[in-house]
Amino acid sequence: MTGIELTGIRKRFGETEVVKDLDLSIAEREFLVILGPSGCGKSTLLRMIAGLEDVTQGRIAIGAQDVTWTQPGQRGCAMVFQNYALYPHMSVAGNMAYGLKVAGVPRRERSERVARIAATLELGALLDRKPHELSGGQRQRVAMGRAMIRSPRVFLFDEPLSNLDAKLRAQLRLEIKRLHRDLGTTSIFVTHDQLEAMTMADRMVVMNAGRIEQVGTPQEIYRQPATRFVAGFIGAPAINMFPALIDEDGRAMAPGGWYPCPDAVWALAPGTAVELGVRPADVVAAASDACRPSFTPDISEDVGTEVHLHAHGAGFDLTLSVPAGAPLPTRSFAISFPSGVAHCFLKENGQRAALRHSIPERTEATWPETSLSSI
Amino acid sequence: MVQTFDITNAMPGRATARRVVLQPWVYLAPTLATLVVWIYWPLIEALYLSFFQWNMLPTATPRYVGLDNYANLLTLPEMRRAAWNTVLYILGLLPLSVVLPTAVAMLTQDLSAPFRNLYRSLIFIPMIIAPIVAAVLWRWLLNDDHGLVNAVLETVGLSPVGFLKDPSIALWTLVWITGWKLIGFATLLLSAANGSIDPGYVEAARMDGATRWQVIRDIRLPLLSPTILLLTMMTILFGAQWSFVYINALTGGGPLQSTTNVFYLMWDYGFQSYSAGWSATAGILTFAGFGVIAVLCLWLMRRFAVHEG
Repeated sequence: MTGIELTGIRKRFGETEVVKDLDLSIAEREFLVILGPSGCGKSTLLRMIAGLEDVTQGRIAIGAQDVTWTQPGQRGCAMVFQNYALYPHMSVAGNMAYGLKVAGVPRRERSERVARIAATLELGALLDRKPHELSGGQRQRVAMGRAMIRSPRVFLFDEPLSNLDAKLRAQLRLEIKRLHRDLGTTSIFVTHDQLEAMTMADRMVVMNAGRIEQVGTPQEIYRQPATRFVAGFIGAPAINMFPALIDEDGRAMAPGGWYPCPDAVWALAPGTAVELGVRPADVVAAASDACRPSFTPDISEDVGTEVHLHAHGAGFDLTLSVPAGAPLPTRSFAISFPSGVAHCFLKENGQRAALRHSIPERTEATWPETSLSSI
Repeated sequence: MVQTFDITNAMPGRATARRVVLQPWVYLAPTLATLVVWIYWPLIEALYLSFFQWNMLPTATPRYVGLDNYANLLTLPEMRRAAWNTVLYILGLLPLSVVLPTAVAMLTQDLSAPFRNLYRSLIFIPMIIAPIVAAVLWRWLLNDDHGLVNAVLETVGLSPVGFLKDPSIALWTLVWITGWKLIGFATLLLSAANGSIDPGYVEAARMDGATRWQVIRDIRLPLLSPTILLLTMMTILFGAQWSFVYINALTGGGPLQSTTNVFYLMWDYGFQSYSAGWSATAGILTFAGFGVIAVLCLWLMRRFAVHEG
């Protein structure tokens, strides 16, 4: 049992509290991704699990064993750093074997294990090189090898792909997933890249300002964002947000008396200020009419598979995402979207509001229940 | 810029061409002049003088003696003694200018800012005191009859020590004073180098299970090697020179020439005995000897210093 249990974790640097009373449990063999903007405390959280940072308050348990005050080397965690932190004066083999060396593993066994890991990671030809003689991707692999060699209970990844170019990143993303599938080691992966998070995670944690905004599978987080922050943070291009007020019947009314989703009735008091979030791909352009606000096309971005159209409206802007080749509005247009795709967040605290009446689920193919890692 | 100008001109005039040739030399002139006047000309002059006998009086004519000065100096016991003492100075200085500062830099790396600033100021004070002031201060402190150090020794029941009078101790006293002046500088250099080591390496080593000592031995010291080797090389090449002021002010090379080194001897021949030929010869011999050592040191540094690439 190598799950991780975080209870009431707080971290303060002087006056600033960067992690605020955080609870999280990570299951054995799980690939958990912590996602959040810069400075949200995600790296600090990872470093506290690693033992590189002391907690101000709270308890960390790995595999039912309290490690809150255990030295980093004794926690059974291995870490891959953002800048790889390969020892510059040691060869690739030396870097990989160092953990074994300090653990007192005999030289012969060390080189056997290095050779075995190097073969897995296709590093065999590079063992005598120094880190500065390697490319970014190779360094990344050596850092992986160094983490793997001690057969840790937990892998910790601190934005390990952010220094690589897009192509290499995609490739290594797959490799890390494959390794996780083969080794089944509990892994925590910190990133600020939502694509990385969505594609790699069994489960995702979205953090903001030292707090967890939402924990769930990538599908839950994308489809059912728990807060306005999560809705805004996940998805590219970003979700559209319309200000609205709840009327007597519980329906959301946008400025100008427009009811963007008349079928949805929210469990909110009349007069509550809310924001309605709609993904750009769910918005449909329609002919302009008098009872709906109109938008003027501004800039369109063709990203190959689809086209993003940015438009101005009275009081709020809008982004539409349409498949490549589909007709784009060239003049003023109005919009519509199915009620089921709208997310309603309280203006006051950004929390998601529940519907009073359920709306039938969307009929398009749902994502598989199983996690991405097992596909 | 000048070349661009030339290219745009289809037919450069002769004046322009001459300017192209001369201009770099004009820029280099101040540096070259300084080098020639202060380094190369005196070197050549010294080499020239080393073949002559001359008492430095403007009225006396230097007499050519060929290699006699070299033959005499190399067989002179005094010179051999000074050369050996030079080695002792250097060996004695190395712990003070390299080992101790490295240890201090390691031990103080985790101090909080106010304490770190305090200790850095304290350790840096000897560095900024004028050498001659330091010499006088130490002479008072180490005085046989009234010095503070001997007074302390006596109160704990030890007999007074002739720090500057005992031939077997005087050299080490001078080594200590020279080293005492260097500790601050070396510590600052090493602390700065230590502070610039990417904390990621140390964290990676901690994740690998390295203890505090293993981190120092396997990560910090190798990464500090350029600085450590630089300080070692500086001590070897200049250490004995740095002690000159203290020899001159405190012992005059004595007692019984126990504190004389080649630099003091050189000065002694030239400005005490007025034998310019011998002084120049000693200078050339020292120059050649240290030149060889410098080449060796540079080779060692290239071979062993770890660079981050």
